[in-house]
Order: sequence, then C-alpha cells, then structure tokens
Amino acid sequence: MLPDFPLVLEVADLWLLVLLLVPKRHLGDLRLRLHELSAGRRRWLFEPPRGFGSGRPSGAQRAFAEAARVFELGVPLYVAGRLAEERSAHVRLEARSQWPESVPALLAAHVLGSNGDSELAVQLRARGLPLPAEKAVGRRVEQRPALGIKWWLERGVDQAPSNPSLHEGDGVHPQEDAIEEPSEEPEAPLPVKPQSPAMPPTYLGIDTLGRLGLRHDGQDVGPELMKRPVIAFIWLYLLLRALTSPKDRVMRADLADELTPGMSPEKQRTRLRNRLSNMLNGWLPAPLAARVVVDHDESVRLDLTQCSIDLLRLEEMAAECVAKEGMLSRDLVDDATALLDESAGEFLPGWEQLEKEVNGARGAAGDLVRQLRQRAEIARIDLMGALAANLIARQEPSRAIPLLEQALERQPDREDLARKLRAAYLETGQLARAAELQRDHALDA
Amino acid sequence: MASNIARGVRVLVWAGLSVLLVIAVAMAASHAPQVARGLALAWLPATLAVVVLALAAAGVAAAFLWPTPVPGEPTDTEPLIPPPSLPACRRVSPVIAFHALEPRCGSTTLAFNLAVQVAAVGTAAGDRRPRPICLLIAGQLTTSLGLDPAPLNNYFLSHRASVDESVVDLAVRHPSGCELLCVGPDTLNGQRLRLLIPVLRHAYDLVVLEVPSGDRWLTDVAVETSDVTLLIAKPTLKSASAAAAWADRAWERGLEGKLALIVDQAAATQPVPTSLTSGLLHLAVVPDDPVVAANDLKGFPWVLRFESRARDALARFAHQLLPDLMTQEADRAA
Repeated sequence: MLPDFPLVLEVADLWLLVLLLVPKRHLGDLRLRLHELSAGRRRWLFEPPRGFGSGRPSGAQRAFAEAARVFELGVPLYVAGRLAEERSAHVRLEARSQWPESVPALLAAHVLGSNGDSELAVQLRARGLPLPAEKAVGRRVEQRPALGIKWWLERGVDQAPSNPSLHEGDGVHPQEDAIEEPSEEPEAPLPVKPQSPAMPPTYLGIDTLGRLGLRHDGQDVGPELMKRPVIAFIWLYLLLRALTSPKDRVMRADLADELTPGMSPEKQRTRLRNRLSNMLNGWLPAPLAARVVVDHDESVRLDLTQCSIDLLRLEEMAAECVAKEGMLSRDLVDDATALLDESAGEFLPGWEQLEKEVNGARGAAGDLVRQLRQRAEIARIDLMGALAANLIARQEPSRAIPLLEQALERQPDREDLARKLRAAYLETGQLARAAELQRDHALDA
Repeated sequence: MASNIARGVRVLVWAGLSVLLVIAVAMAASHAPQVARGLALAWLPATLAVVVLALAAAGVAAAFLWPTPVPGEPTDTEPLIPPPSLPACRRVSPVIAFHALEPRCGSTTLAFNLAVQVAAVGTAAGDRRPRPICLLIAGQLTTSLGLDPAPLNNYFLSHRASVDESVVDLAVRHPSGCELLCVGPDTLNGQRLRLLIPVLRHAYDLVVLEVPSGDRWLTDVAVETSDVTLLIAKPTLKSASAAAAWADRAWERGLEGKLALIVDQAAATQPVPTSLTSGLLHLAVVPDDPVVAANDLKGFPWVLRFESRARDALARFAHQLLPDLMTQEADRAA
C-alpha cells in the first residue's frame, strides 16, 4: 500500500531542510580547523573540492563539487567554512606576495646560486637585517712557551705526595732558582756560547728554538741579519727548505714566487736577482753569505756542512733516548735535560712578523715553519717521555710525574704517555688521579 | 581516490536512507491525521527555508571562487596538524638530539632543516644570526649536500683521547649560515660524543645532533648530553612500538620532560595511531609533503620553500623549542 504522493512530497521537503541544515561530518576538531584556516595554515576546512588542482574544471563540475560539499557540511557550516577558506586564501596570497622579499626567499636564491655573497649582503643590509653567520673558526690556543725543565722537575718534587722527603732534602735546585727560570727575558741579547777551540773557523751554530741565533767565531750575527727583513727572509726560507727536505733543490722561480707572490714572473725574477746580488755583495753577514750556494741549474741552497742546528740536535737526542727504551746513562740524562732546557722555546718565534712584513704572509713558508714547530714539539715530548721512562725504571716515579704531565698536556692524544703517567700515579699511590686519567684517555683497565 | 570512493558511498547511503525514511514517515502520517495536518502546515515554511538556504549556498559559492593553486604546492587533502607541544630549551648553545624510531622516518631532513631555519631567521645576542651546527648521519641527503664522513672519522682516529677546536674546521658551511658535519656509521660513540659536545657548544649557538640508532651507549650519552631529545616517528605501528619502549625508559629515569615525539609524514588518509602518542608528554606533527622529498634529492632545504607544507609545522615547532633563538622579532623580520 503506497502513501499519498503529496504526503511524500511534504515529508521529503522537511527532510531536505534537515539535510541542508545538519552537517554530516565529524565536528570534534572543527574549532581547530577553523583556527588553522583563519591563520592561513590550511586552505580547506576538510578536503579540497573535487576537481581542484586538476586542470581547469568546467562550471558544471565546480557546481557539482560545491553541491556535494553543501550536502556534506550543511549550509550553515558550508557558508562559515567558505568564508574562513576565503580568509585563508587572502592570508596566503598576502604571504606569497611578501615572500620574495623575505629572508628565506633571499637565502633560497643564494643557496641556488642566483645571488652571490655580496649581493645577498647588499639585499639584507638594505632591509636592515643581519647577515648569515660566517664560518666558525676553531679557537687557536697559542701554545705556551715551554717552561724550563728544571722548573717542572722542581714542581714535581714539590707536588709529589708520596715522597715529601725529596723536597726537603733537595738542595741542588733551590726554589728561587726554579721560579726565576721561566721568567728569563726572551728579548735579552743572545748569550754567545763559547766556541770550542777545536771548532773550524767556518763553523756556524744555528739556534732556532726560542730565538734566532747565528753564532760564528764567538759572535752572533743573527741581529745583524734581521736588520734587513727581505734578506733575512730569503736566508731563513732557504734554511727552512734545507731542514724540511734536505735533498730538494730550491729553484729560483720558486724562491721568487715565495718572495713576491702575485707578481709577474719577470718582475719576480728581477727582484730576486737584485736581492741575491745584494746578499752576496755585502748586505748579508759574511759567514752567512758564504753558506748561500747559487748553482748553475738555476737553483739556490744553503750549505749546512759544519753547522750545528739545535732542532736537529734535539731530534737526534730524542731518537737516541727513545731507542734506549728505559734506563739512560747519567751523562745522557744530563745532556738530554740540558738540551731540553735550552730548547724550550718555539721554533723561529718571530717568523710570522717577518713573513707578514716581507710578503704579507701570502707564501707557503708558514706551512714549513708550522711543520718544523711540530717536529720540535714531538722531539721535546719524546725526550720528556724517555726521561720519564728512565725515572720510572730507576724507581723514581714521583719525579717522572711532572715530566709526563707536561708532555701529556702538550700532546693529549699520546696514549703511550698517558699509560706511563697512569703507571706512575699508581706507583705513587695516587689512585684517584690514575682512575681519572684512565677515564679521560679511555685507557684499558 | 580512496577519499572519492568513501564520499560516493556516503552519498549513496544517505540517499537510500533518506528515501526509506521519507516513505516510512509518509506511510505513518497517512494513518495519523494529526501528523498529516502538521505536515500540511509545515511544508510551505520548510520549502521557503530550503530555497533560502540553497540561495545562500549558491551565493557564497558564486561569490568566492576557488583560489588558483600555487605552482608546486600540493593539492591533496591537508592533514589536520595540532599545535605543537614541545619543551622550551633556554640554555645558551642548546643541544637538540634527533633519534629515528624507524628507518626513513625523516630525522636527517628534519635536523638539517631545523638548523637552516634557525640560521636563516633566528637571532642570537640580540642582533646577529645564530650559527648552528648540524651533525647528520651519512645518507642520501648528505650525499646530495656533498658531505663526506671521512674527515670526522679520520679526526677521531687521530684524536683518540681528546677533541680540540680544530674539529670546527671540519664543518662545512651551508650558504644559509648553518654548518654541517657528516657522521659515518662508526664515527661516533659515547666517549667521542661526550668529548665533542662541549667543543661544539663553545663554537656554535645551537647543536643539532642526529644520533645513529643501534648503539645503546651512544644513545644514552646523547640523551644525557642533550637538552631536548626528539624522537622522530612515522604514523605507523612500528614507530608506536619503538616509542613505547622509549616512553617506558623515559618515565623510569625521569626524562619524560625532555623527550618529545615528532610524528613526521602525517597524512590525512593515515591517522596517527593513538598508541604512538599516548606515552609521551610532548608532541609535534609534521605533515606529509611531496616538496620535502623533491628538495632532499637536490640537497635543498625545503624550509626555504614557500610551497612546502612541512615548512610551517617546522617553523612552529622551532619557535616553541628554541624561544630564545627564534624570537618574535626574528619571525617578523623573516
């Protein structure tokens, strides 16, 4: 039995009204959706209408898509949603129009390579905005000039907790002397070492550690050399090359490029020729000029025969002591301690200033100096380690501790020294320090 | 596609139910004179109301046309992103650690883009851009960025017991102002990280650290040394399982305050499992965004792309996470 048709229409009419009023979606997060829409962080209240983003939909397709949304949301929510979507579109349009002027957009162009560093800087400055951070540079901790070994030994004696009687009974190195040692003035004139009568007259003593000393026939010609920076630079550069690679020849072109980097080769060669001529004609002290050898093959070198160079002496001494692997003779210990004490300073300490003055520090000689400084440092540390090993072998670990501490402080990644120091700590009953050292240096138990 | 099918089914169900309901009510009304009278009185106002509503809807639809899609901008359904709830990190040179809960969950790209975001629009010491450093695990993104894990690996081989500031020289500066270090599979361990972090904190305004997974010691040290630990998850049950383990440990050790879950690649069609978000106090959601993958392939930070959907989510969580570096002034300037 079918109902009356007008009655059906009336019910359908009412039902249609209900359908148009009531949303058919889950509305638990409606507030968040409207909030995100009004802030421009969303574009649509729920989903985008069908056909959005797929080409250019026809009017009928749009009408159909909108009708579906009206049916889904109900007219009140649809109207509210469309108003919020419109606001979102405005917010996003405004943000988009401002985007090309924003920092991220400028940086994006910079990252893509559209604008260079200077262009970016100009753009940001024009807007009163800070520039991106520069590359971080590791803080270079300038290495402290090495303290006199006597001072360290005294300090070790003072601090050794297990054997205080050593300090009390030590009258050989009084405290006053020990404190005065590191405060010796580096600017003081070089004490000229007495030359052995057996030395040949052409003998040249070259001191590079802590200060530059060029000893010949009882006189130091180093200060005289340094009065002429360009000449000094050339002579010292040849010395550096002789020390770093004794077998290599220094070609004139290389030397000219080092002396006047960035100049045309012709000018470089002219200047070098003039300087070499000056060197060999009186500007350079005679004992040093005699060492400069200009070969026929366009190379220049220093003749280092009959020379004593402190860096090489230090390295030889370190190698000899390390090779003993433990106990050293008394004489060798005395010699090593004296040499360590004499060679406490940095290799060619005034080099940077000289290089800056002569070629603006644009050459590669600085690398050679750094390389030699590292060699000197390694030799010193090896020597300290060998002296400490000698003391440990002689059952005097408390005296070995200050040596090892200093060595480890200067080169913390030396695991062999850390092991020796830990052994010395354990032997002197300093268990906590031994444990701390083991942890800090990740030593095996 | 799935959404369209669901929509069609919904319409059919509603239409069928409506027909049945109308016929049923009409049949009931034919036997109840009072109801029939009521219907006779109500149909005209109802018709008028329907017309008014239909006109209103048509008017709004005609007045507000669809916006023109921005080229490159996704046109699919947007997921609903709740506001982030992350702990604020207020220490000088904070350390943010990223831990991936499952492979390919986006921890590398999030770490990189967070660092870029801070470098690009942050402020440090009032008037300069911060200098963040980001340690990224070697992978596809680091390859696109031209990063190599060998320098850091060699550095640790030659510096077994100490880390000095020369490690800073190994970092590669990105044009945005942040610096990047690539971490190989076995480069880091707990001891190395412990030595590395203080040096990086000294040289940078922010340390963003992507922690390799699988090393329990390293993970523990990373949690201990970082100010905030971000667990990067996908909206999957696998991530939920890993997050539950993290939540248990965090609550046991009282670390729940510095742990936050970042649900990456959240899509409208894939709801976030409640088990994923239930164990941790802090949560942020990053929407799925095709712009991310496209830019990662080129090694380009998507956070500098206007059309990126994830950019906004990242900016919001960066603002909450690092309030001192991401100030309001910085935002306005950006």
